Amino acid sequence: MTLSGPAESLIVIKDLKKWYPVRKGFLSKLGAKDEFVRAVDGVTLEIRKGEVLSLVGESGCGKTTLARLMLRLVDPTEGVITFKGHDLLTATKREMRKMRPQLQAVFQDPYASLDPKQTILQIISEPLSVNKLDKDRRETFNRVALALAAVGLNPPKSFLGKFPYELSGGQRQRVALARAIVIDPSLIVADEPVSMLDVSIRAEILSLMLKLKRELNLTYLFITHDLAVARYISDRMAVMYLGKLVEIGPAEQVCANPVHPYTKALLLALPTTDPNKRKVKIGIKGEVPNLTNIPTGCRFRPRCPYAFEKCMVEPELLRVGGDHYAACYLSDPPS
Amino acid sequence: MGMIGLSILLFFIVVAVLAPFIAPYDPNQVFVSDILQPPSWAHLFGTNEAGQDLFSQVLYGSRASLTVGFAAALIAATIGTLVGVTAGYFGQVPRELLMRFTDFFLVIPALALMIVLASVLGSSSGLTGIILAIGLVGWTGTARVVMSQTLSVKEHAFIEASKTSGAGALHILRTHVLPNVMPIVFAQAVLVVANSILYEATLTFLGLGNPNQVTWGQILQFAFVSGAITTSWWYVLPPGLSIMSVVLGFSLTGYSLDEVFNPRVRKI
Amino acid sequence: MLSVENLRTYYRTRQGLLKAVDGVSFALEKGEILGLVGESACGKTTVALSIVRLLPSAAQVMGGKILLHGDDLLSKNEGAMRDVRWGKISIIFQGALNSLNPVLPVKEQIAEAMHAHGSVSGAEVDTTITHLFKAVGLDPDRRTNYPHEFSGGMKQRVMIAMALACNPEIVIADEPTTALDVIVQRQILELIRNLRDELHISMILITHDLSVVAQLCDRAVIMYAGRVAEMGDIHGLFESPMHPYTRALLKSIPKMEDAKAQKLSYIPGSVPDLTGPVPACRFYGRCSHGQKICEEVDPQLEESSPGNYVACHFWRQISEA
Repeated sequence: MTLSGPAESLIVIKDLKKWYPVRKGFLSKLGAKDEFVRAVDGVTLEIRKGEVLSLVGESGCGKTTLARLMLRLVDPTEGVITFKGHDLLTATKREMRKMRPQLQAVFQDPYASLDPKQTILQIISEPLSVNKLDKDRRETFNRVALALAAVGLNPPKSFLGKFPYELSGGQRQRVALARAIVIDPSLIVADEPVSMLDVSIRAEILSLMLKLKRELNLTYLFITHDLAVARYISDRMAVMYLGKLVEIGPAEQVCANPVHPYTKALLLALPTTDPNKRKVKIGIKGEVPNLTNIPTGCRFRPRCPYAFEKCMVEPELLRVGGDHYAACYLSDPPS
Repeated sequence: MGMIGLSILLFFIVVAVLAPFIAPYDPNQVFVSDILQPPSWAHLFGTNEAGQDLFSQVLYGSRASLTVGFAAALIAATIGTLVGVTAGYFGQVPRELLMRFTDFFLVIPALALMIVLASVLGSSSGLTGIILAIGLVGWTGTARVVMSQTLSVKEHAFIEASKTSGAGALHILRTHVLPNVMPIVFAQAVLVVANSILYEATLTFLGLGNPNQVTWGQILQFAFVSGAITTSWWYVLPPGLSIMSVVLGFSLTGYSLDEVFNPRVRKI
Repeated sequence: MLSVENLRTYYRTRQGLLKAVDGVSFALEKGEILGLVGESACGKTTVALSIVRLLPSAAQVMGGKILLHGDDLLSKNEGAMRDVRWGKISIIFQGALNSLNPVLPVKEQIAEAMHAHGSVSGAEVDTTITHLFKAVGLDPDRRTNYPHEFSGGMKQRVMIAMALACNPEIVIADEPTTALDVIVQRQILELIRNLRDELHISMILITHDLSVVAQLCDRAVIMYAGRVAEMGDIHGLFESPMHPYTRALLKSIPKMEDAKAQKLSYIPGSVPDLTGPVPACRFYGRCSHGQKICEEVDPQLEESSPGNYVACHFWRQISEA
């Protein structure tokens, strides 16, 4: 798969792997091979400056682990991550201190991601104080107030002294966004930022995120299991299954012309709000296999209705057309 | 339940603070003519074998006992919190090491260990010896509770958020873990005070305390040593009842605080 | 067959009396899947718990009737209710995946429910469970497994099997697919539809997910802040929603079938605090059509077309616009 030149990419990851050893009991340790949960098993992709890249997949596909690897919350087993050309894994402490503030995150649970014992002012100013940017109290205050205003919590002064329990879910998620933008990041990793919010509030937060992107020149990695949301908000969409990328391309294209049978299944399984479109069967049996027991060859082979002989060899990401790639032999143009 | 406990505590604390004003005599003052007298209007709790007023002794004794209780609990809570937080927050290796260290202290009977420490330190100046003996041994309960609380706090998303902002372990421990662990430390500490007062009474009774300090345990020890314990009920009853009530007060308060702060009952 | 009339259930909280359900009426026909739809704090779970009388101690039914074949469930004593529960109406609770006892094999847990409803011999229990497992798409040999040996989707199937164990007429399912992945969710929804077609069970499906409702339900009741906003046939509801809340809700969901650059609108503000003073129409304040009368006079449910009802003072004007 060809990647665009480094000038356009914010993050490039090559062949990233994260394997967790399975702890076995004492007796089974004798003579048994080590088992691994292969959460992320060789992912290569880039995040381009200014885009919204969504990462979709079901639970266990590795999308959350990938996000944590990118945020350097965990160390990879193998692979390379570069940010603006700098290798994140071999960076010195000093280099990391400069790069860290540029990579921020918003998490899924608006109730758990804010420390219940801190005031809103403390929560939002924490990134500043941790990075020693809070020397001038007045300036810190202003930056926090600006962040609050930017996320629509007005008047900012009235929110500073409040505690998380005094705010609604939607408001807390705005605080989480304010915290993420207060140190002027380049990239924000959003892990299911709206899944735990009421349906009628999601649109509000999504449009806020898009507004912030425009105003602050942000890039998003948007992780979700909700394909409709992903399609709405993202420029490009990447689909993961069992620790690997199975399809990636412009969001509209992936949804309109999916190539990989798993993507097709996901799109078909999506309940629509049109009661007339009910009868379609999806044709996929079974459930996602255990991450310690990954099928040989193409990972989706056992559940795929189109599997044929070639699928015994794991496919690479093959170009389908334009910027659209899929890890499936079905994307091979007939020769 | 907690309110009863709290009222008992407040009563004794007030008594201890106001002791110099309430006590009719200096506890060490000797009334040569009134040896081992039963309670009377002159001596509300009677006198001991040296002719000292027991009422004043018990009042002053409350100061000492409560001081030992609080001070020892402070030491125990500090050590316990440090050990618990470190074991809970950092990886498997530090946790295993610290837990084995804690187990060592748990396996050896606390009293035996305290006796050893007290006999070495006990008769030194003031009450320091006793305080150290109790504090250096009584931290294990707090350590375990704090460790399990830290383990659960560690998993919360706001810790990850903090790390993403670039916070180091020290900052996270200080700003996030500690404030969220403190409530349970507090509840534990109250119980530790209760235990400390009991241990103090026990150690002093066994003769390991400082004989120049008036504490309830010391009063009982003199009663025992002088043989008055079998004859003079007024000698034994007040200090005994006082110890019992104070311990009850702290225990009741501690248990209800625990109910309030225990994360299984209340979401963090 | 099941008729809820003017149900009012309140909770005693530290902040005061929470009017969680404040005058809710609807009916469930035989063999239909009725959706009870709304966002958080709309009262849908409270309605379900009121029907089976399993409310927490802080809650109390303050008024109304719940008629099962004409029999008022609210007037029954606990003993009579126990017969009704599971035997006539069974319920799959929200987060049911976690309500299986981890130390008992699943077969025992289902058997427990069956034994509580009449003496059945061990052999009968076993045959029924085998049958149930097959009906929900599980391998009957796995009935002796423990809950942790099942995946999320399979556990949900076990819960469905358990709910069907005593041949109820009505099954209430509270958010049965919320915690599940998309493909598994689809499988469970297909399963529910098949079971309804084969066993002619009536069902109340509680969810906040409008697309699940569109997929599965015949009719739906849209709830907002403890009241019914709109209810009726599913096609009518989605194609021509009447109530401003329903309309706004539908406009705030990204849809696959629309263009990518679709305009999503959202509803400003938030749900009113039901412990304090509330406007007569609960949606007043967030509604773009709200006027003085909405604040003062309770909107009643009016029939906008046969079988479809809406509680809004201005539904006619809105639908003509």
